[in-house]
Amino acid sequence: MDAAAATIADPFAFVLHECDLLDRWRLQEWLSLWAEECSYWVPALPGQESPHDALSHIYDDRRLLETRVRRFAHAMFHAQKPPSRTVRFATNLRVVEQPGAALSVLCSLQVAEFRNGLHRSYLGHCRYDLLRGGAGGLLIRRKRFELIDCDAPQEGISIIL
Amino acid sequence: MRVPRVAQYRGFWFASLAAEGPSLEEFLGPMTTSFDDMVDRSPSGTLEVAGGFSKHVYRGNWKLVLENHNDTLHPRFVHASSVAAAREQSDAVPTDGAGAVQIRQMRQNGAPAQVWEELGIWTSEWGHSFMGDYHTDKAAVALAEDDPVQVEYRRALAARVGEARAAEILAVSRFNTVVYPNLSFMSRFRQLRIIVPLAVDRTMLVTHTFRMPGAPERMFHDSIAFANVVNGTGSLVLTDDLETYERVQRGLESQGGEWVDAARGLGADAPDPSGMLRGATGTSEVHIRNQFAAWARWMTGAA
Repeated sequence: MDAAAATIADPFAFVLHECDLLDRWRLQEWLSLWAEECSYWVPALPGQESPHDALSHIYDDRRLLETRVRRFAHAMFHAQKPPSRTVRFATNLRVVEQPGAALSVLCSLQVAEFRNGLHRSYLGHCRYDLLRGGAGGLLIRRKRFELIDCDAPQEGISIIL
Repeated sequence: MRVPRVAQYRGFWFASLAAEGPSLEEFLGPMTTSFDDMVDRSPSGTLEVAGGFSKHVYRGNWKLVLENHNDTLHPRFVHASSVAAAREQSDAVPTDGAGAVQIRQMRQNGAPAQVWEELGIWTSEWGHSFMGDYHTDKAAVALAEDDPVQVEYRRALAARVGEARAAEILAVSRFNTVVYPNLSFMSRFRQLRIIVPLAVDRTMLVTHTFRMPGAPERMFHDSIAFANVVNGTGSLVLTDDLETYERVQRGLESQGGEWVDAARGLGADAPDPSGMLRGATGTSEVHIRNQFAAWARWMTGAA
């Protein structure tokens, strides 16, 4: 199933699969969805254009993304003791074709988290910039999740959004 | 709201709700040298507020973050997961620069015990403190001394102040400075946090960073990346700090113990030639004792 999943060519199915892997904590498979050069970004300001000239809640390039994923396996990741349970809703999906082998998916995304007796919800607009890979599948070049309350005080975000 | 007194030091403005009391410079005391450190490093001699801001909150008392910022024992335990994950990371994997800055900082948090023990920790009147820098790799945030960006920066700084003064400025090795009870900043890395108590068990931090006009733009980008690792809400480092504050808060609320121990290094703190009280080792809790001394003074109205 997962080998097939890695070559999902339909952009909507691909995004829903990405959400599903995160909900099921299949982080190594999730990492395999990403392009060799990529970024995962949760800006701290609405409409922020560059991650390099303003603060962000999260901005990972490929190297840091790998480190982020590796940390989940460590016994002393205190902010994930106990681990979160999550469920994601991606809706209002739209495809925007880009030049060459690229395309983008825009969607409304909600991540619901339950941990340590507390419920939390992350809600916002998410944009996936995707590349069509060689085997007919898709790869994530950039994921940008702008929370509707990104400039409001946020508690620590220990999960991957 | 009209505040009775406002004053500035090196362009940083402070407001006081008390009509009388020590002047700003009397209040800051030796902490003025940390503001000097932050501003003097700029080739233009000024800093620009840039990079927007981010805010985070934790479910704990405001004192917890201030006790943490100059604590040098916790990184090996609180940050163990990010230290290990960063150490295992291959540097052959692509980075646009931002990830490299963050990973470098995480690895530095795993410095050996001896590095932390040998750091200086200094305190002054009114609860203030600063600690020495533990970035032993002589890198200004992310770049090695012989990196072209660093070379260009040093040249720009020396062009304004001269080689000798530039060397003096860059030799200052300081990490966090805490201006008790609501300000904490990293002069070498141009990071500033304002601590805002929201409730007895809820605290907000507002994070700012600065651009050095006249320095290579890459250094500003590195400051942004550094802000994201030390203050970013989803940082691999900060999230474990916030979790720890919340656990401490729950522990305190449990009334499970009558005393909170802050005795590390007690009895060995000694005045240094600057007049500040210095911890005998870098892991002394002299800064926490100093904070509570200031707190008791305010709460009792003692002169």
